[in-house]
Amino acid sequence: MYIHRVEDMDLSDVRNESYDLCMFASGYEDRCTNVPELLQGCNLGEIHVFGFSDFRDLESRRLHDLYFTQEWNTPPTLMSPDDGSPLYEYLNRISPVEHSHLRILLDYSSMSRIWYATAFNWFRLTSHFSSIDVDLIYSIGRYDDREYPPTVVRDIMSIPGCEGRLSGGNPLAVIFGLGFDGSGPLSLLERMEPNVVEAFVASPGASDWHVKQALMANDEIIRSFSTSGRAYNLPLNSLSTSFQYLSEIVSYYRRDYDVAIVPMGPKPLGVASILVSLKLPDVACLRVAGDRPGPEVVKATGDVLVSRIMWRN
Amino acid sequence: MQPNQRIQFRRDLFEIETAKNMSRDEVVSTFVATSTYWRLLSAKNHIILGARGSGKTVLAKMLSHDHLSRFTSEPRAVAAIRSRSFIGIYVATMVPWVGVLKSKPWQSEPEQERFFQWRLNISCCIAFLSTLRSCLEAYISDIGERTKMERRLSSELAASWLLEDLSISSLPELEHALQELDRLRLIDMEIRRAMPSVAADRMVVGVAFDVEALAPLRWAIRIVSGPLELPETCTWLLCLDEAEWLDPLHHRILNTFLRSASDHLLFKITTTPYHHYTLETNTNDPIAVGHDFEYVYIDRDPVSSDGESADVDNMQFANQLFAKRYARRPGVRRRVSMNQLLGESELLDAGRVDWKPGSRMRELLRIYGSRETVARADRLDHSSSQFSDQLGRKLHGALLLKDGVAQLRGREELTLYSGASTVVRCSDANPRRLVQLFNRLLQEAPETRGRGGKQGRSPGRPVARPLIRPVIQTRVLTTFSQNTLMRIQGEPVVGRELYAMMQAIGGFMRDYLHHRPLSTDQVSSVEIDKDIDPHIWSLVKAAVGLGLLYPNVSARNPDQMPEREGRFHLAYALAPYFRLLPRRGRARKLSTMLEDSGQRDSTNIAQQTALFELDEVEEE
Repeated sequence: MYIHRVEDMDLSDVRNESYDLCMFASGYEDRCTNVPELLQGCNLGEIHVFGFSDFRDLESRRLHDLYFTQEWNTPPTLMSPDDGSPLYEYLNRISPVEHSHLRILLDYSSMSRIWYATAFNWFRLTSHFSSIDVDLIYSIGRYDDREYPPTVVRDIMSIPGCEGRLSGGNPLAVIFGLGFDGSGPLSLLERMEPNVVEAFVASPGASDWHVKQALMANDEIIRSFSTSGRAYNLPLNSLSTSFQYLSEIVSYYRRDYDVAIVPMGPKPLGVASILVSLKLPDVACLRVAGDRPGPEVVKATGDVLVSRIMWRN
Repeated sequence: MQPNQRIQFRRDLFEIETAKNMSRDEVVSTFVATSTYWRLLSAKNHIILGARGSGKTVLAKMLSHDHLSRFTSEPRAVAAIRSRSFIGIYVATMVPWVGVLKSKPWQSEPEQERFFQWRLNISCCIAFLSTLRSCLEAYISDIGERTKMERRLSSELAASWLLEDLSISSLPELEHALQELDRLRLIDMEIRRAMPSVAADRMVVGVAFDVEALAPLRWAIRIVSGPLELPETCTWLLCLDEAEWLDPLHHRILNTFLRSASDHLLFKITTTPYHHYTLETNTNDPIAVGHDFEYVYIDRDPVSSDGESADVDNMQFANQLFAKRYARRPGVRRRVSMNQLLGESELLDAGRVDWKPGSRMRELLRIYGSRETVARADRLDHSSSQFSDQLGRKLHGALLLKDGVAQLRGREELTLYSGASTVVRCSDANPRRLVQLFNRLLQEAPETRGRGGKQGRSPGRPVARPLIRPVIQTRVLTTFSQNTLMRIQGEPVVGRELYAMMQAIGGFMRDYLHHRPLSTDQVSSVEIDKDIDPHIWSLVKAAVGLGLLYPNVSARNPDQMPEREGRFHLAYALAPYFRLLPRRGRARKLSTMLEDSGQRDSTNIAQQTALFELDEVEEE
């Protein structure tokens, strides 16, 4: 299947919709129960909860697992953050006889990038359904005004399905999605040595402070390394617009460069990056594994972002 | 296709510090061929070791046919091309390429091996097409004949690689077909993982490349050898760049090639020191250094054990590098040499210095020298040549530096890190550092060109005035030195710990020089032995890979890297930041330096930099 359209939606659209299935994630973050709480009583179809195989001993994580077990009658299925294979097994059980057109709700607020990329790959590769509409919902996080410790990059890998084109010797163009850590992209530059560097930030973001923080933290990469001398603004609150803008940025370089997107900022722009790579298979989307001094516990602002991805045969 | 070959306007090549970002013509026109290069252009397997920025990629690219064939200023290169004795293929293992290999943690080891071999096969064949294009241009002058040959060979290669259904008649079409094949293969792999029941009915994609590693490349070589009239003695060189990003499992597979290499297909593999991870192969026998392959260590010590000749070589190299890039600089109205730009070095160009009793230098020795050193100076007064050999050369720069630092007041700045030989020394003869330094210095070059002949600061020595003032040069070198150190923190995995260790080493050396009476024993190296903590040893290896520490290799065996014991000198690039003299001195135990700074063993370092593993870097 291919991505037919990306649309922005409202929480009320979700509340009024009937879904065939719904996927949540259970982790240590408080945000992982924010969306389920907002959707109590809605017609979500078959519910499935995936739980991270690590950090299960954290108090918050135990409470969240208990929440899903008690409130949704669905204990989490454990899954490694690096391997979405159980998700494939789950999706393969959906009968195409019963559902020629699928409606799926996916809460990616606390999901690993590999998990929702796995789901997207399944939508891309399956041919048993005439159409699939996937509503993505994301609880926007609140970050405090404080120093964010640098992340030490451990490894760089492609996202499955987003490997890009095998290089024929073309120069490399890297497009960074910037977050609050300025050192991560800089260390990647040393390693990747691209010919062209572009960058984008979530703007408008969750707040003016978020935008200013991202620009400040990444001032060096924007001023000294970005080919265009600026960071592109992709709105956090509109996946359709971000997807479109990012496709345009990438398209400028596709003909003459091997292009790789490396999203290191907020999840919705990570989703936009993956969708661009799935739509333009010669464009790679990479993810970065790294180390931080401690788990970041991010609280919900209360705002949610809802987007619909329409897959068609 | 290399679109950057289409660059029509001149770029300032001092702003481009990595060969990856240069067009073929830019690489060729600025290449300085050294004895190492000619050593590599030979029928041997080589593993090329060099710190980041040491020029490995340039060497590998210049071995490739499309670069070598354009190196027309060098008779040996012209002869190699004309005689068809060497045909090089350049294959880069860039981050996205390696990232695909690492993105499948569910694969078993045999599956990982098979996937690596498949991808290596198809990547080498794509790279082969670039080389073939270059061969056609070099060996078939008539355009009509060349086009016919391209059509014929494209078709035969396509048949060999089981792509004949696609009616391919040109190299670009063939390249595109291979890229498409790779894409379909990845989709096929994902379908087999995602939907095993569907996969049972699917045909395997790209079976022609699902064979023994490099077999498709060997078939291709056989197909083209006759039509291109390649002699029996023709040697193909597969130049695999940046193997340090691969895993030990991949190195084992590459080692198997080295072991079984024929005379007609040999390998040049570049990696950083200590990042040739294993000698094991996929058979029972490991590869043997000196028999199956040779290491070639390309980092050049600006001050080797034979002293002057290394300096002369490096100055020559730097001069040529500067001249070639400067000649291509846009808007240049007149030629400027590196020496005109930077002048002489107070610190390193000792020249004719007055050491007589009562002279300024003697006074500095009296103020800063140890009692023993002062006494020794008095004893050597009778022979100026002995004085110069035993004391003068060793103390001159150190005394000026101690005095310069001690005399700094308020906003005063040092001027001593200046002069061509100091700049070249502080680059560690690393081409990337040299280019970076030249770039920064040229940005400070004045609009109007000055004239030479003004007296310098060192007593009794006339110094031609450089175009960039010493205080500016010092400022540039010090900032560069500081940035080199700061950037360590961002290195993947080891950054923070490595930074702490380098601070400890540099700090020890700085204190030794500036807070003790001066003798001819200046500390510029660390010594390690077999008792070294394994984690500290891993940091030392990382430092060598990044060009922060350099092994004191023996002149008799310069390609042999010390293993868990030996001496390593601090990069001269860090000398300005730590206010050190950029020259070889004595060694002290690394454990002593770390203990001195409170970082006795890896436990302390690890505790200070304890990190929490995160599977992906993104804001949540």
